[in-house]
Amino acid sequence: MKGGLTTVALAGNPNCGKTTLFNALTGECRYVGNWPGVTVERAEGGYEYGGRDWWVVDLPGLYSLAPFTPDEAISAEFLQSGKADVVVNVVDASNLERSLYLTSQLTELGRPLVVALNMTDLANARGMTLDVDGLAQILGCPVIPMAAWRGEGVQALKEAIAVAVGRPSSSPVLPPDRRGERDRYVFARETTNRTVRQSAEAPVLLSERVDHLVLSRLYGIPIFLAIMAAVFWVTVRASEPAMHFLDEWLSRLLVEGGRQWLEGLGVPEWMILVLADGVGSGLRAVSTFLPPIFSIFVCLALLENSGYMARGAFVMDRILRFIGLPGRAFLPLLVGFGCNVPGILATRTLPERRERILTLLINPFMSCSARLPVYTVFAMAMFPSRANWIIFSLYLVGLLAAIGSGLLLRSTILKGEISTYVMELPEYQMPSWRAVLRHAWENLKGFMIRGGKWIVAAITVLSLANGIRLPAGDSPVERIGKRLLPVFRPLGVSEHNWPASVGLFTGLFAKESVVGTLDALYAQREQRGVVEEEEMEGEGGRRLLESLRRHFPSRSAAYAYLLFVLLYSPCVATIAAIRREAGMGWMFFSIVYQTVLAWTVSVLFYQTIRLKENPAEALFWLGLGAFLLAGWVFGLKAWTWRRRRA
Amino acid sequence: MRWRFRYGHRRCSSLIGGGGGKGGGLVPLAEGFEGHHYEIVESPDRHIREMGFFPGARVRIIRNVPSEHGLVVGLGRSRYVLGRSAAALIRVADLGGCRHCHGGIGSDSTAFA
Repeated sequence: MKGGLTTVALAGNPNCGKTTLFNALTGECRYVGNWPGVTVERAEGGYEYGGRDWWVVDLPGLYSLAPFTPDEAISAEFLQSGKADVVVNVVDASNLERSLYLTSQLTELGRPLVVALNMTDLANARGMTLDVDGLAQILGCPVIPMAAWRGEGVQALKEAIAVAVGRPSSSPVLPPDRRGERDRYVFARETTNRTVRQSAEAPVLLSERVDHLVLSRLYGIPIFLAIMAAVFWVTVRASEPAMHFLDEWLSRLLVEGGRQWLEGLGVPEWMILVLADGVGSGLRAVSTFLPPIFSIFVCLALLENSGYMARGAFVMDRILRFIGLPGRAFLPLLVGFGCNVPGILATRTLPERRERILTLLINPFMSCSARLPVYTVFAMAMFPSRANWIIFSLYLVGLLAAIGSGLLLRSTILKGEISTYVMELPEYQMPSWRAVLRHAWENLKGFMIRGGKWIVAAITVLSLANGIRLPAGDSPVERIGKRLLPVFRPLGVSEHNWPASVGLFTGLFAKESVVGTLDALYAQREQRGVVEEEEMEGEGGRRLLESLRRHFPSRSAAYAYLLFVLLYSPCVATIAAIRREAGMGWMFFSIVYQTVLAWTVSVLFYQTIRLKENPAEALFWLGLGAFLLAGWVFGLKAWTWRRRRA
Repeated sequence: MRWRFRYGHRRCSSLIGGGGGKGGGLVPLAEGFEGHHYEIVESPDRHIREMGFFPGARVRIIRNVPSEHGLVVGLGRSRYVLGRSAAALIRVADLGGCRHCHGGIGSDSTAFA
C-alpha cells in the first residue's frame, strides 16, 4: 500500500503493451513507441474504481526476474521487494510461449496475480484461437483478454484487480523441485500447446516484405538517409511560413505594441525594458520556435510508431560496430535527436557498462530539438535558399563527430568486446495520429515550459543587465562578452560581435537560450544606435535574421558558429543526466572533451575557408587545431597505457 | 545439402540441383539457410534463452547475409535481429520448410494440437 492506495504493478516482456495499458487504466498520456525499450524508468499514476483509489506502477519490460540490463533491474527489484499489492502480468497474446517464462516466475512472488492477455485482436488476425479459460485454469489466476490500445477489456481488468486484492496470493505453477530453466520452458511450451490453436497457414507478413527492402544492404542506408532528409525538409520548409507569421505578429503585439502601451501608461524605462524587451521579446522568441519543434516531433513520433526505429538500428549496425557498439545502441542515439536527457536514460537498455558509457558520451552529438531553433534561425538568415540542407548537414556532422569520438574512445579508454546483440523487430503498424499528435504536443509543452523558462529568463536578465552602464560606458554583459571574445575570434566571431560569445555562455544552461540571447542583445545594440541606422533594414519579426546577417562577417563564420553550438559542452540537464548514469568523472570528461572538440572543429573549418584570404594566420590556427586533436589522441592513448600498467 | 550466395544471401540451392530439405546433424544457427525452419537444440546464453530461443523452440531464418553482423530470425510471431556471434553458439536441427525444398513444416508457426 502506498499512502492508503493499493499498488498495482504492470510487468511483462518489452513491447507487449504495458504503457498502453497504463495509459488506458490511468488516463495518463505516457509515450508509447513501437519498439522494445521505450520505458526505462518506473512510471506511476492512479485511478479510482469501486470507490477505492488504485496506484499503478508501469515497469520497464523484462524477460525474467534475473535482470541483464539496468532497466530490467528496476523492474525485478520492484517486483521482488513486495511493494506491489497486485501484480498484473501483461502478456502478448500473439507471443504467448515466450511470455509464459516470466509468468511462471511471477506466480512465485507470493502476490495476487492477474494476467492481462493483451493484443488478442492481433492474435486473432494471425489466425490464432486462444483458450482463455484453459489458460486461467493452468495459471491459477484470472486471465483477462484485451486489446488495450482500443480500450477493450480495461473495465474487466479493473474488476479482476479489485477482486484479486481480497484473495490469497497466486500459487506457483511449478512445484519447488521443478523450477529450473528447462522446466519453465517445458511449462511454457506445454501450456501454449494446450491453449493456443494456430491455423495451418500463417500468411507472409507485410512487415517481412517491407523489410526485404528496408533492411537490404543496397537500399537500407539510402532509405534511412532519405527518410532523415525528408524529416528535416518538412521541419524547415513546412514550418517556415508559420514561423514568420508568429514572429511578425508577436513582435508587433508583444514587443513594439507592448512598449508603446507601457510608454503611454508612463511606466518607467527600466520596467519597459523588463516587460517589453525582456518578457515580451522572450515570449515572441519561444513562440517562433514552436512550428519547427512541433514538426520534428511529429516526424520522429511517426517513425517511432511505425516500427521503423528498430530497422534503423539494424541498418546502422555496421557503423555502430565499427565504433564498438551493438546495433541497438542506435535507439538511445535516435531518442537523443528529440532530447539528449531521455537519450542518455535510454542507454540503460544496454547490458554492458562500457557500451552504456560510450553511448552516453556520444549521445550529446545528436542534435537535440533545443539546438534546432539555433540552426533554423541561422540557416534562414545566412543560407535562405538551402536552409534545410544546412540543417541536415549539421545533423550529419553530429553523426560524424559521434563516429569519430566512438572510434577514438573505443581504441583507447573504452576498449572491450561488443555484447551479444539481440533485438526484437516489431511489426510495422499505421501510426495512430492521436498518439503522434499527443507525443508531439507533450514535447512541445516540455519545450515551452523548459525552453521558454530559459529563453524568457535569459532575455529578461540580459536586457536588464545590458541596460546597466558601468563607469567605462559599457554594460556588465558587454564586458563579459568582450572578455570571452578572444576565444571565439579564430572561429569567425568578429570583434564587434560580442553577443555571440555571450550566447554560447547562456547556451550552457539551455541550448535554446543562444537565440534568445542574440535576439535580446542585438536588439538593444540596434536601439542604442551602435549599429548604423542605414544598416537596420529589417523590422518587426525579421529583425533577428537581419541582425545575424549584419553581425556575422560571412557564411563560413556563421557555419563555424553553428558547428560550435552543435559540438560544445552539453546543457546542464544533460550534464546532470550523465553524472547520474555514469558518475562525476565521465561528466567532467564529457564537458572538456566536447568543448575542446567543438573549438577545434570550428576553427579548422573556418580557417580552412580563410586559407586563401589570410594564409599565415589561417595556417597558425590550423596548426593549433591539429595539435589539439593530436593531443587528445595521444593523451587518451597515454591514459589507457598508464591504466593498463597500473 | 549445398549452399550458395545470392546477392550475398545464404539460401538453399535445392532448386538447382542441391539436396534441400531436412538435414541430418546439428548446425549453428548462423549457418542456417534463409526460409528454413529449425528447432533449437542448444542455446548457451541465458539472456537469449529467456527471449524465447530456448531448446525446443522453432525458428525460421528470414534473412542471413554472412557479411552482415545480424541475422533476422522469426520466432513465433516475433522477429528478432540476432547477432552473428550469438547465433553461432545456438545449435539447431534443420526441419526444412523452405519453398525450394518442399520439406518440413509449412509455416513459421508451430501448429498446436
